[in-house]
Amino acid sequence: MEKVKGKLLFISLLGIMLFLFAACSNDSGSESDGDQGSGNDNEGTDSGELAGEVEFMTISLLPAFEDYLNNLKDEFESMHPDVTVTINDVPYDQVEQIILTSASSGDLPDVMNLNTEFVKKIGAMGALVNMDEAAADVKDTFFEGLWNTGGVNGTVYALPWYTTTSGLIYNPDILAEAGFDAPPTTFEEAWEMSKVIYEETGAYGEVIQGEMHLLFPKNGIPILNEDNTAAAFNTPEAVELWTNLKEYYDQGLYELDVMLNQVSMAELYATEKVAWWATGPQLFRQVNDLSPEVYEKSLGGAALEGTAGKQHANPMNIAVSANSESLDAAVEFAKFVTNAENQLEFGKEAAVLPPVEEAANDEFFAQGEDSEDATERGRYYAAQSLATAENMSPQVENVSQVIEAIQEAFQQVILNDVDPADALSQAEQEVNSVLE
Amino acid sequence: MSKSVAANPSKQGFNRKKLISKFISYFFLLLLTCITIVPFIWTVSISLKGQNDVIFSIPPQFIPNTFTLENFITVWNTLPIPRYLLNTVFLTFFGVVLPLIFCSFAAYPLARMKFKGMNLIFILIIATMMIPNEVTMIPVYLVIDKLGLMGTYTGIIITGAITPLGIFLMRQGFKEIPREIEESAVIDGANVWQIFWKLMFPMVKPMLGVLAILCFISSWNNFLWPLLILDDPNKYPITLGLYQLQGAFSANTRLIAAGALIALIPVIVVFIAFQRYFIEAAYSSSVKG
Repeated sequence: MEKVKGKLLFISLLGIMLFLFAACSNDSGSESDGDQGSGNDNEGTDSGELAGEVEFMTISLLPAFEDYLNNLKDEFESMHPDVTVTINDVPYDQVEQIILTSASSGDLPDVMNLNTEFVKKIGAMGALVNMDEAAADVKDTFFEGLWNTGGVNGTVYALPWYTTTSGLIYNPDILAEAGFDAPPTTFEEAWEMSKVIYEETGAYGEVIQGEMHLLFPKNGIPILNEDNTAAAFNTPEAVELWTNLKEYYDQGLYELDVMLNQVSMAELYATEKVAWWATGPQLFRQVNDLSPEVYEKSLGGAALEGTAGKQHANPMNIAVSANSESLDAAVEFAKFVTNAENQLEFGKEAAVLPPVEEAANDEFFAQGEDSEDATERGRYYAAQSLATAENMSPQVENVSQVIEAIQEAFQQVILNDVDPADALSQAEQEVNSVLE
Repeated sequence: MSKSVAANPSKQGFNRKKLISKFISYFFLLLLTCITIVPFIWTVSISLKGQNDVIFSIPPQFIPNTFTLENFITVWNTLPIPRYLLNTVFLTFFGVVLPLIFCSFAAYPLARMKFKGMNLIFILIIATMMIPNEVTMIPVYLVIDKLGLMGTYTGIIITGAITPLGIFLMRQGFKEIPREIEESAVIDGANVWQIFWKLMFPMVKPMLGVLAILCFISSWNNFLWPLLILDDPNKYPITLGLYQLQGAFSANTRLIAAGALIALIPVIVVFIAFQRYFIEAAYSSSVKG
């Protein structure tokens, strides 16, 4: 009797589950039908005026830039009355999770604010609109070096929105105590000064920060070969560079805390444990938040140069989802956000730099050379380096793995006394296998 | 006289030994308290510091030069805190009540009834605890999307409406009740539903309290699902709302500290009210788990 009951229960459960599955698949079937229908509708209206809903995902810009973003939205909506723009701001740390989950369900926001690494990852997945074609008309307004930052495998998938190049914020008191009256201008000079500063004051000078792979291109060593198919950094120059850095570390000139994310540069600088900090001027004010006293006496300057004499530009991009239901409106909105006028406006608000030439040449960015304020002066120098700056990160899909391989090899040298030449060839192998 | 003198030193020695061991254990407990409470005091101190006060200095400065409530006021004015708190309370209410009901429903038969494949089902449920969240995240997201629940609270609530840990705990709870009580109810003519609802459910109250606390903590702190599912800032719970204090270019540590404290106050109130159960929660999820 009980056995029969059990069987009955089992069968009925199975039946319920089957029913549920069937119901679900029916649902999704009808839904996707509906989607196609509305897609067709859109195309119908596209011939005339732009229409549809555009979701714009920004990264950590609300509420600080709420007014600016709402203005963009209002202006665009008044230009195209049939388009509705919604702004959705997400926290920087969580972008990856959001993008990857929504990309896998084909549900990406129509227009996205992405950093170059994400553009490469998602662009290579085929989820973004090809901007070489969709935005061919505005391509020439951007600095060439910055336009290419949205590229992976030879295609550009995003428009540069704003960019940052480094400036230098420095503490004149520490420099004076060590007998210097000006900050360094090159890495070589920086390390020479670091020795004196460390001996005289106990503070650090130059510190290896997170993006140490950039030291290669800054010193004329390419990270990858020309077609981005193999590592190219295993050169005698690189061995020399790492050997020197190891020597400086052994002399106690810097710690790896910053590179390992144990401590932030802003905190080190605000507690006067480091004489200068090379970073984007838009971040200088973090020092002011932490220690107004230290910020008050700080000055701004130009970023350090390696032997290549070039600076790295770190842009934020605007990309459009290839699956967008209002594709034309989304592309138009992306162009609108990145046009000269709006970029200039944003550059003024956020102390970042515009990748559109016309905006960057605005007199606003030519001011600040003699400013008492570290941020303004830093911005001046950062803007000066913009025309020749390029994004030095490898233009490949697996860029983060490439960077990680290099960083890990460097940590081996510093922490486990691995020979720099061995570590470099180890990293070379790893990068090559990542690129295969 | 001599007897009492002889007796006293040994008693004193005993007392001293006890005193010393007490002193040592209290010393370490105090030390531990100091270590664990420093981040909290640090947060309170930062939240009360004025714009010109130093946050990072060596040695650290705990007492602000200029006491101010300005940071709390700024946070209150820049973000709709009451809205966020209300949203969180709503989510937490369902995040606590639903698991209590559903986990009990699942646990009772597993603890008390005998049917074929019972152990297999239980093992399968427990086995899902070994799958990390990161693995199930995308499938769950897809399911919620296909159900049309994106942007709704329902989508968030169902992700936590039933948990394997909850089923496990409730099963332990039901198992601890003597079988005789159930049997006497059967003799009195109660059916299965009556036994469950009128008899067993009230008797597992302590375990329900434990589960409620665990669910409260995880619902209140839930960050990932609201982040993935919600797109309207007006629906944000407090955890997500506070994240807006961390901007792309600046993060005012004072405001973040103030915001964190505002979000913490309800948790502290709940903790004080249910302190006793908290300890039990820690026991039952560690010793028996």
